[in-house]
Amino acid sequence: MSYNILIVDDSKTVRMMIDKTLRLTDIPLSQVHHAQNGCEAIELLAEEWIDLVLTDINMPEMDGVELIRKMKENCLLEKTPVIIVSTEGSQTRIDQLKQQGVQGYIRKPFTPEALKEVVENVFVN
Amino acid sequence: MSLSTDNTIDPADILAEVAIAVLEKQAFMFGERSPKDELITEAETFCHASMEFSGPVCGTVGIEAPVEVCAELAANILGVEMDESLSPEDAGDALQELLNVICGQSLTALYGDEPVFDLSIPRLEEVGCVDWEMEMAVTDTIGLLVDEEPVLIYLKLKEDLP
Repeated sequence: MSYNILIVDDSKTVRMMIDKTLRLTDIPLSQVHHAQNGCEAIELLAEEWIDLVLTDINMPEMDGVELIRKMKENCLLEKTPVIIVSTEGSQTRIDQLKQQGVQGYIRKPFTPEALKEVVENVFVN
Repeated sequence: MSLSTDNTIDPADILAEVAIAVLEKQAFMFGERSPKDELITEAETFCHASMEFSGPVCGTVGIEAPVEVCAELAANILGVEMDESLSPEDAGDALQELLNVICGQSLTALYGDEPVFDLSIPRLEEVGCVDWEMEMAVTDTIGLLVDEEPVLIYLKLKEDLP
């Protein structure tokens, strides 16, 4: 089985960095999609089957918190795993996001090993 | 230890430490704090990124660097050669992302991991030598030498803003 992954971040640099890091791991990938914000992500999620969403929090138009809320409201998307990739350092907010159903959290800057570990944990579980 | 528990910590020291650590981890670039009068550059164009944070305290954090340094930053983060399909937008985007990470990490280092801060989207502008010299003259602006190239960084709390 190979996975379709969606990377959501307003920074092209970050999207490219995560994309490259994922391709360097042995995680079997089918397609890696990119979106610049939550709005683009929702449009893409309506068109493509996505196995995992990696999203930033702080983005224009629709931020990561709103994206997660909209996914949880949608019966077709509510079970799609979400990992936060963010500079967010507040444990209070991370706990809130986990209560909303976020499966993993990676703080920037991250190592390729850290990204691989969190992504693999989500797929294993 | 954070500023919330120890008022002897100088935010400028924390900002410099965080910036140096993030540059090394994210872009494999090595930096050190430097007196501003030793920051010499022949660059004529600079990228200036800034963003606001609000929470228990509010303020602005910013970074300014020669365009060439930003291009090297982008190349290092993406793991590509400098001349390999990198656009000026990529250079600016890399600086904005670097600032985003420095801001988040600095706020945790200064205030701990309990407070919730809202961060704005980083803004980017291209500026010339006049802006660089003006930023150099600001007392709270910190000078860094990053791979022997000058970089300016600052954190201004709202109570300090004019």
